[in-house]
Amino acid sequence: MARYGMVIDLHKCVGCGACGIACKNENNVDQGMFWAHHLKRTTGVFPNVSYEYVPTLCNHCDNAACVKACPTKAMYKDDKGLTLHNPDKCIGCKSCMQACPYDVINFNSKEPHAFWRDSTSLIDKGTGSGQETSQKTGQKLPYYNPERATTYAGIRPKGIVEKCTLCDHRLAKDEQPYCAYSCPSGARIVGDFDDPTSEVNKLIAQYGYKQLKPHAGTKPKVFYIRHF
Amino acid sequence: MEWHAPWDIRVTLDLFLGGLGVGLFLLSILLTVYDKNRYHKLAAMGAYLAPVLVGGGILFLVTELGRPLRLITTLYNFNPQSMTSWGSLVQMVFMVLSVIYAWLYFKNNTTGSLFKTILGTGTVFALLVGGYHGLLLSSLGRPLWAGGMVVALFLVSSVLGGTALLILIKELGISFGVPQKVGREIASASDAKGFNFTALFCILSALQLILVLGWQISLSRGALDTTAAATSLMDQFGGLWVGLVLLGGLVLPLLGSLYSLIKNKSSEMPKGMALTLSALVIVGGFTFKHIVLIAGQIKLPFLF
Repeated sequence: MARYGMVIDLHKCVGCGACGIACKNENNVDQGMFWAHHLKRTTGVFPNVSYEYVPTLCNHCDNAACVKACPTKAMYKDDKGLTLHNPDKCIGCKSCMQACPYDVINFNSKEPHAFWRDSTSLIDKGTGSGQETSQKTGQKLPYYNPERATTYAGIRPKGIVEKCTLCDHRLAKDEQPYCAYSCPSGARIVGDFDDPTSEVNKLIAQYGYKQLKPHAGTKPKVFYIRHF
Repeated sequence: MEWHAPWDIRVTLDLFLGGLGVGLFLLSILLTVYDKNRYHKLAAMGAYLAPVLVGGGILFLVTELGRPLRLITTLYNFNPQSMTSWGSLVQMVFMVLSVIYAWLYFKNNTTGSLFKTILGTGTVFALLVGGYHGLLLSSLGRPLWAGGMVVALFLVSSVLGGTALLILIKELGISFGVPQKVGREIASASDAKGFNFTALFCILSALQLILVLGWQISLSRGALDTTAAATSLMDQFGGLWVGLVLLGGLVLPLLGSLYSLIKNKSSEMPKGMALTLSALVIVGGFTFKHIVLIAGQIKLPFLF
């Protein structure tokens, strides 16, 4: 049994947001929702000001509150320790969203990717519309990644929730999640916490770590090292 | 981007109507046990309205689901860790029991062993449904809902609402579906041996007021996220909370019913007062549940 999770090195993270964009690209994520996001906070009074940028994603908690709250077992833990979602079982009750202490579960309240069906141009006769781009590329979603559909719905339909899967389709091929692969500073490291020789275990042993809301008792598996 | 609560007013309507239904059902059983001949009409009205109200609430809840047609899957994909799963099961059983109870009242068959069985099991499941409404929220671990107090708050609010609704029905003389042969009328307000609705109304108002104030004080003395949630509730809904929930929905009904009892402990409130205070309790109960539901979902500053 593996227990996959992530270490985020906050000294390496430059706050560029590439992880969020890469995630959208890889997982066909709609506008207005984020599987990979961030928190920002400015504290203190000049000249003693501190700025924090903390990337966030599903914590794939060992004791996942969303899994407990889901009335249909649509949220479940897999044999790699990932917290995954079965769109065919989801009834869209949003209990998981309420239970998640990290607010990282999104709900499709409308038919997704409406932008690519909209014929409105930003500048009339100056720019193309989403619909035009979609028609020219012959794709409902011009940046659609068919690889996503190998383990999860390629595009999640209206009426259900969706969230980060730690790119389980890439992990299945021994590839890094796309956010980690795309990070220009190498701040995201994914590995098996059950393997004592894994890099993630070495990093948290070397630097110590912080977790988001440890008091929630969810045993999150995203570890932040070298916090400012 | 504008924030929307994941659960909107349809969930409030489920909790509110379901609570009224449970309250009416429990009152109907109480009156049946107390003196079913004297209170046949009122108990029958409670019996008829309970499944309608609970069922109506469930319908609002179903429209709130992203995939309402999959509702039935909560039964065969049952997750024993999920309060929502248990809630589906408990509400389904309660609906069946309350419909049988109403049918037995409609057929004036209130003496058989089936009726007695329904009285017992119905009471248990009504309490389970009433408790489930609060437990659903508290099980999700959000700061405003955590700790278990919401379970008691919602249950007492439901029983108080049911009492207020039954007083409205009694004072307005609403009655339907009662067999002709049932000749005896609702107990007269001045009958010393009759059930004292005012006393129950007063006790429940006082109990709910103590619970609400106790809850608010304990929230304000809690951990950082709990106090942030309590502050957020008052920042967003302070006027409605103080005006409709506390003063209109609890303090006035308590003082009014207490005044009536002090004047004559065995008499009921005057009709005008009973109608006004009962309406206030129902409006206050709805406002209370809606504010708790919405305020509990407000995104708080992330503490890390």
